[in-house]
Amino acid sequence: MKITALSALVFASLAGGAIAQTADQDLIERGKYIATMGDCAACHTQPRGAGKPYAGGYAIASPLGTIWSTNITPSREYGIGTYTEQDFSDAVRKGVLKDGTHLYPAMPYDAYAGITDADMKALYAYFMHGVAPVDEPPAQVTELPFPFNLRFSMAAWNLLYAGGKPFTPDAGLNAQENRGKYIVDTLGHCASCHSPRGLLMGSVSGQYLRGGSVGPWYAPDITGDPVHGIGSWANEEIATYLKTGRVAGKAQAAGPMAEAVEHSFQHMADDDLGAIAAYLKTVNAPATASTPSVASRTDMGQPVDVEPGIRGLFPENAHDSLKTGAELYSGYCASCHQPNGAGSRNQAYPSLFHNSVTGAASATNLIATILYGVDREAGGDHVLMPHFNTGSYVAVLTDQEIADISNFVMETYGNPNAAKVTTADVQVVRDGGPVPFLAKVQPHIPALMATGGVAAVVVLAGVILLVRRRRIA
Amino acid sequence: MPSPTYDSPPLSVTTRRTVLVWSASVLALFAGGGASFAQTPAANAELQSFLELSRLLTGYDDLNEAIAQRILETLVTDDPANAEKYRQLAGLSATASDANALRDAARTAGLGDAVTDIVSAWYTGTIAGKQKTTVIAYNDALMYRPVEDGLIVPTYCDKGPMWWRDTLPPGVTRMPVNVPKVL
Amino acid sequence: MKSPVFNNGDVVADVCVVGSGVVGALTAEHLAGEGYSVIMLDAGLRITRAQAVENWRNMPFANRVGSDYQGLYPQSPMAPAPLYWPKNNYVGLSGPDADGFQQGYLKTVGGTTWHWAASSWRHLPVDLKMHSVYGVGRDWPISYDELEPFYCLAEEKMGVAGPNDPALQSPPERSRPYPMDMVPWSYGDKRMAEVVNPHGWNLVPIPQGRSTQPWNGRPTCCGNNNCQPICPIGAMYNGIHSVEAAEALGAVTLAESVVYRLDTDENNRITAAHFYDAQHVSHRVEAKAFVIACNALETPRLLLAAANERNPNGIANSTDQVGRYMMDHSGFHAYFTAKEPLWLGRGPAQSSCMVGPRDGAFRSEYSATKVILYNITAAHKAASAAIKDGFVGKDLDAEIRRRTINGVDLSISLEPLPDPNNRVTLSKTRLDPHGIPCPEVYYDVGDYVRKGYQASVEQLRGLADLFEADDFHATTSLNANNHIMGGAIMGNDPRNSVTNGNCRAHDHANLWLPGGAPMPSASVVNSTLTMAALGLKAAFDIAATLKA
Repeated sequence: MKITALSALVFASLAGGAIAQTADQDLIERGKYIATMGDCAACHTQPRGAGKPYAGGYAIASPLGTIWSTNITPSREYGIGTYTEQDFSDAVRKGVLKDGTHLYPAMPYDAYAGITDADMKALYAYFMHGVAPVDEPPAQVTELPFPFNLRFSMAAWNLLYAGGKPFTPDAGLNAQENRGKYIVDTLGHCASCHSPRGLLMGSVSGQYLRGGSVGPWYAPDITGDPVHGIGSWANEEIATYLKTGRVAGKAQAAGPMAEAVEHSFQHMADDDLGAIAAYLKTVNAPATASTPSVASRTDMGQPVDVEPGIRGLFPENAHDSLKTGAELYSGYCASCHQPNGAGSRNQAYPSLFHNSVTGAASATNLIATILYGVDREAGGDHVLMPHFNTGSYVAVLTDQEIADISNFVMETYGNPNAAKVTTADVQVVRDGGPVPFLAKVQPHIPALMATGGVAAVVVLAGVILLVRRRRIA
Repeated sequence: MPSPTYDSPPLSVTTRRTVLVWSASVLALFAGGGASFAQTPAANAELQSFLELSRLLTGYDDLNEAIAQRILETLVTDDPANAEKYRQLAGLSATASDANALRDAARTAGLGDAVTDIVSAWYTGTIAGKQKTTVIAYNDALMYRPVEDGLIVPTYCDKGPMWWRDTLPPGVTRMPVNVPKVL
Repeated sequence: MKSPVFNNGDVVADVCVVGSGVVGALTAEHLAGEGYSVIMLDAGLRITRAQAVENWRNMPFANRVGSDYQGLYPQSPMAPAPLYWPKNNYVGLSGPDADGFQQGYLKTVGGTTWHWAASSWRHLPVDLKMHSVYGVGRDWPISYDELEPFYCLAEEKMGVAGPNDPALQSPPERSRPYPMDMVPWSYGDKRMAEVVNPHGWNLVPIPQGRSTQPWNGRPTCCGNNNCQPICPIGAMYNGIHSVEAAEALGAVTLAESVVYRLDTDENNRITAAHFYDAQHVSHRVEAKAFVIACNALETPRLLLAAANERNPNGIANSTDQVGRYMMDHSGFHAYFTAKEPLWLGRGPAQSSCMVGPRDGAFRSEYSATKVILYNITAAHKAASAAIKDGFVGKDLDAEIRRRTINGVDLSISLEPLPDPNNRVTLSKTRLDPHGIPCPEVYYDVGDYVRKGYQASVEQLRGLADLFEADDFHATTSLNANNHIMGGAIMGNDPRNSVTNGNCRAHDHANLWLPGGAPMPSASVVNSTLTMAALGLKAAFDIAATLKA
């Protein structure tokens, strides 16, 4: 990102004393790093070279309609080129634009509210001087239906859920853990996905980082709980996961987490990744270090050879003979994941036992992986597991086939006590995930409004939009 | 393009020594005509004897019992006279020091074909019987084992994407100099 | 997006494509993308990838050793395709090289590229001028330069990985780089190149329709060594990918739909195609343009079988050229055991090929050859031989290992010349279950190929010497390579050709016959990419014609 002399000059004349004419290069670099930590590009840049950096135009699905990210380059006409640092800070921390417009909380300003003043200054410097202005609007503009287009309603929502203050260290944590907490709670906005949402989609008390739905995926418990969380992981393993998107014999990132690794975590300093790991391990950590009696979700299952039970049962020219989960698994999955579920020797194709996906209490992420595949670039390695949804290069699987494969894999290689998958479960994941309460009641909103519940409705609307970002296929 | 590097696998697991949770269901599945084999102490002794014979002829100690069951049933169903031949082979094996000695003794006793049938079943996974051809094993057929350190079993890729790139096969110490140069 | 209209089983569409293999499907995809409603009719079943994978694993050992790539694909009982374990004699063969023309092709939605090995070669520019340069065979009515853009497009559609160093390209005349870089060589390919290339063999990378990186949702090749008869993971291009791409654009595919009659009007334009469904009920497709892309054996069979009152000798056959000039790259195998282990079998089915003898002045005298380093693991063949030899125990393992890692299997293709006497005709006695005559083929490879065989065997003996082999042997009977060409050959003169340079029939202004059938020269390389390029060239001509 070069700053041309001209743009710096133009900016200086407009922004007056908001910032020194020549921003300190170190400050810009630091701001760039903070923008990476905050993963601003995930929403404000179209993926894989489809658009210019921070020019917006990325679609974020919400149950109430598509939210299109905006141009946050220093373009005066289409971006934030006329913003003072205070304007910038209000947008990032409070979700209020310079012209008074309220942002939808797809922008995680509730988390960003905790950004320190020093970091905010650097972030501002980067967006003003480190990002090339793009003098064009995004191709699409957000237009949610009435009454959700009443953006002032977000002010009411903010009263309930946003409006936090800059981060202050927790006296109970050491310096490294506090650094980790700052990243997790503000820039990393981990809780946006990894904390469950209640009826009104606010955080559930006591369930901080205990896991939550993200579109078709489930963002699992990432607390230090040794059974349900990642307490059994070494700190180095957590850092490796964030850096590479995978830890052999434990887990691999897919869906939104693959994007987070690709755009954000892999670029973070090792110290910061270590700090995240150290902090996460303190959350819900057991009072005393003892080996739990129950296997964690990353330690479930064992190798089982599927071949002896199915080989030679049908003639070599059979048509339409693959009916059971084992037969379908053998035909569609075993080429890579192997007939015993162990994956490839180098674990480029991961083992299906000792895997957080199959060891989970629910098959949601297994179903989502089958339907959406894995597509992740990290550390110079592009991992692609093909999907089996419409348009698949391998094969398009039906809901029944996916249910049968999922049940076979969970029972054979993973958590045998996981809830059984039905075709309805597959359909839910295919349709983009569970529909929140608010969207379910949406058809009744006119009636609600007629009875005077306007304020309630607009609050609800804000909640529903809360950071459930999900890429539109 | 850099080669991907990966960690060690979580467990030292090979296809050959997997937990055979399925054996029970397999036995149930093929219980039909040969039910007697597994369900009585005598039948079990017969199976153990056949396994012992198979271990000697193949040189492998970790033969899959469910596959042994299917092989034995299929061969005996195809030709009931085979049961007696295998009892005779078992008798010969008591004094045979190794596979070659047993094969030679079997040939002398007119049981050479019976040896070939057993070896062929284990190595190819197919029994081309007098009456019909039966497929019992694919990945577990022993023929792939002698080269499993450098090759894969076709259709199963246990080495990951592009595994053959830039890697030397076992026992080879020098990557050739290419003329012309290629990747 | 426009789709065909259905009415009681009858169909009205802009374009009717008969055959849903790589050629028909790519043609359909292009035309659907141009906004036309397209119906694809395929005689065979629609199968799933996993079914083919499991069928192969469930196939008897002997069939696998014998490379039975036909038997695992289930067939519609109403539309037989060739089978050889045992032979079903669906195609009647006669002539001196009848046994060398036992083709393996599928009648299945997606076509025979279900079990191809993804070699995606181009003809050399000179291959299109055989008569004017070497005084043998025929010239094409189009030049390489006219075909070249369609080669590029076909490579893009099929996701071809090839060498981008011109020194490794055959031919290097290209206007665009390969969509993906070449499939990397294994140790065996590299060692072979190191030994043989100083002797002029020119072992080069085979351009392959296979992913060497994630490509448009297609996974990276994992070298599971099973390209033939089925890629288990979809890393290799199959015609079914283009079928699905066409369907995503509105095209509709009907499986088990066998076309048997074509109606013509007073201008001899095709007005309708009639087909039988699986219950032998007849239906009718009306369209503005018709494409017959059933492969070079079934296309002439259909044209001949669909004779009507205005075209009593068959469709497009006013000058008795339909069914003539049948070609295939008749081939043979050469085997030897190298003194050193080469470890062939690492990676996909084939990655390198000797193109040294692909061209030269000798082509005025005898056939060109290309020599593929066969790379499917030989463990099964080694086991078969070692068990037969009586090995047991540890010795058996050692023998399997020796044969597998030291063995070399070279697959050699020979270049035929177009001969009007090599032809497809209709059987007078044998009918398929719908009552349509089965095909008969007379085949004689001719002295040009026989001389080429002799020359090649001598050259290969020298190659085996480079590896200190003492057991060199070459097969003496020629085998088919399933590269079926001819039968509706293209040319400028309707008296000795069936189509023009756009694969359009001389006799019918709205009938195209793209694929292997119109190819007037075979070159010595696999025909699929050229067939695909001709399909796309025809598709552009169809679009231009429909717009006019």
